[in-house]
Amino acid sequence: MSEETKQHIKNIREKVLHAIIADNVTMHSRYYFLARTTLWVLGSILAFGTALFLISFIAFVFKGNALYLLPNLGPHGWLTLFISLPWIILLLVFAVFVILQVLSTHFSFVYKRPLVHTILGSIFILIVGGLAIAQTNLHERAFELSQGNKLPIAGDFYRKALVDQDNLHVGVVHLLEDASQFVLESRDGGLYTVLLSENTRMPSTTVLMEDAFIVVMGESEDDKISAIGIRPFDIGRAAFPPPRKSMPRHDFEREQLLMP
Amino acid sequence: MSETDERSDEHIATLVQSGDKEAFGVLIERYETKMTRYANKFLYNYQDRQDAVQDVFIKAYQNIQSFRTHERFSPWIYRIAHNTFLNVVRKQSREKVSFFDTDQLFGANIADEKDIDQQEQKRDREILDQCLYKLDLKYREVLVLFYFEEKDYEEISEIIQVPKATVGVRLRRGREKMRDIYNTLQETI
Repeated sequence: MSEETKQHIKNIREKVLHAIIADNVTMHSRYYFLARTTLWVLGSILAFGTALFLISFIAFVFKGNALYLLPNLGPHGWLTLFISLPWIILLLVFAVFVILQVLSTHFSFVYKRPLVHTILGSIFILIVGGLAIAQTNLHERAFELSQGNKLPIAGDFYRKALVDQDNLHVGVVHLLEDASQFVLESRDGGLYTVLLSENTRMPSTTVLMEDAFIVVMGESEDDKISAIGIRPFDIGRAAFPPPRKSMPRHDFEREQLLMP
Repeated sequence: MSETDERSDEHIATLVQSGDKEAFGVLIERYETKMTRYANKFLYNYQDRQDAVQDVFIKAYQNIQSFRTHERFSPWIYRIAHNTFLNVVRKQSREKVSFFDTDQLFGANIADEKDIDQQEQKRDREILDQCLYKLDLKYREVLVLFYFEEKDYEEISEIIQVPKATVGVRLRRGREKMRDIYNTLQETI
């Protein structure tokens, strides 16, 4: 060891010890580190929870708008699906996921594993967890509350989430008179005449029953929809705004009787 | 604070945690040569080196309560040194160290090279010493810890907080790059 290095080391030891003993340098307390770790853990839990919630919300939007049926409509359906994807929420999920990854690198069980394992593992857990939450009635309940303005912050979020897509009409069957047409009341209260043909595909004719919730695939012109496919709408009433007292449901039979 | 002090680093760290300021002097004594040698491989200015090593010990004292005494003290203080030196290097050279590193992506089954041939290690160390300054920081830190600080994969993984497999990948690539640089240097001479 050179003289210069020996002197350098001696200087360091003296300077550091002097600063410590003179209390110019103080030790952070145990609580400081405890609080920091707690914040880190809470931040990670919050990011994880937010990602789970957003993914389950995307699943709810898929179910509630019957987006999963769009590929049945061919290339146009695929394009509509692409356009109708909740992009802002997907971007939010991505941002939260990046935050979660950054926060989790603090923990040794994460940084000791290859990045691919951590990323794929968390994607898997988030998707499975998100889909599991989507199976509960959490979002349906929140949607219902939002309709009555009983959901403060996220209300608007839910109110705008469920809307009919191009060529995809969610509604309730009314006035089922014959095998060629029926009236569909959409979620916003609009009335459409759905025209059936030999080419209209549906799992079975039992789908078409009075007051049944269905999804009609097909182009609409004015108030007529040429149905190319009909599917039951599994989520049912939960994805419909509750009927408002000031706007009673249509009395179709009475309307017909009054018609000239 | 004698040379024959047989207490473990971890035991001394416990004493410091409970308020024995003088005991920290023993830790400085044990690690000052190592830290100075480690700093030599990253910082080439005497004053910068002195300031950085001093900073390592000050940070170690400030953060000693975060040290878990059932773990080893050596990787813990090397981790502080690693962060401190790299921050100085980044500030000086604006050298970019990306958050996303492809070396970290996949796990590779690379065996720990503890039993590497002594002669080969010596030769690698000599080559490394000559072209260290031309190597990327991410390879330099792994090679320095392996060849000069004689840390194993597990310790290096703890210090730079990457998977053990990544340590192996960086060591292998670092060695390849080191030999390329060395060959280029030889040709120019």
